[in-house]
Amino acid sequence: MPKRPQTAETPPAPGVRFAQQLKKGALEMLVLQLLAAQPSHGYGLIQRLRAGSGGRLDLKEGTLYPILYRLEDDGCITSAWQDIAKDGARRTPRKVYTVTAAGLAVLAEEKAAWRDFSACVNIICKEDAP
Amino acid sequence: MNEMKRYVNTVERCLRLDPATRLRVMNDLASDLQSRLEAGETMEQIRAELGGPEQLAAALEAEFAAHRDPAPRWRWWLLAGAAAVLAAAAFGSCAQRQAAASVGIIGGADGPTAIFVSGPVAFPGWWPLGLVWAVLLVAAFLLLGWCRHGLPRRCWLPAALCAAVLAAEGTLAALGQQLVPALVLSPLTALAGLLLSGAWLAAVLLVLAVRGALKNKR
Repeated sequence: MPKRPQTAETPPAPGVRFAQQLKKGALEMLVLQLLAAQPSHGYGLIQRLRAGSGGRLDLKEGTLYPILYRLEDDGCITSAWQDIAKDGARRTPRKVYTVTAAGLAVLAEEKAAWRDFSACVNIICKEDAP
Repeated sequence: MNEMKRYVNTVERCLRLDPATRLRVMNDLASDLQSRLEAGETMEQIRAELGGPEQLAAALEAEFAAHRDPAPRWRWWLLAGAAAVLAAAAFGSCAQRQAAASVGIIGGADGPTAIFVSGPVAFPGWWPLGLVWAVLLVAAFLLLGWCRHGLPRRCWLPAALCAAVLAAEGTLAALGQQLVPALVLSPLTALAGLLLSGAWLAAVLLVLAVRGALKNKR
């Protein structure tokens, strides 16, 4: 049986690639920000990111999990199984993530870095605007 | 709910990650799929968004590329070893039959004056010993490959093979026979006989297989 020819994946357009890299860079900060506001499970984070960004940040579980595990391994967030819903009823256990004090410090640093970076990008883009 | 469980089980079966990362991912995935269902999504909608279980497993492997855990390629040498052991058993058995045919007897063959003038001491255990080692090598091959990337209950097959080997050797011992005739000339030869019987390997593989079968029981 002949082998199926391997087709190379078409690389994304420069604009798309830039948007993807921006998202990758900012997602950790956004996840920390959301968890600082309210502890959440994975799907809850996906829903809140989608709602807060007006649908522009549509994450899948496969993209979110590496971020969560990296933050957890760095001590920025912790996880715990919870089986009580907000109304006090018992439910199937969920793995809920909560930000730690160390995570809040990291979030403050990342937000400061983001403000500095976006300010200088805005200055440069405004000065050299075509 | 059953469809969700089948979906999750298929993802787990296809996911080739190290055990710690796989456990983490599967715990989160099961939790999040349950949340999706409780939020009113159907399995069809979930499949449309996340893809089929094989696609989702491939996407997760791509995201966790640093934690990939493919089965070691050298495990195929164990299968080759099993074949070699069976071939050696067949060769030894044939050589033994030929040597026995060449044994000359001086004197009355049925009496105390019979003297055996040639031929090696007969070793009756070529095939049993060969089979034991072939079964153990196949069990090790299964543990290293097929059992690592599937449901934990797959480990019961190599566990059963090792248990059968130990049961067979135990039965032989109870009947006063041994797989490898123990030439107890010294502790060293006794130890060599014990090592050659393969019982130690059967015990180790049995423990590993049972641990694998009971691991991640949810």
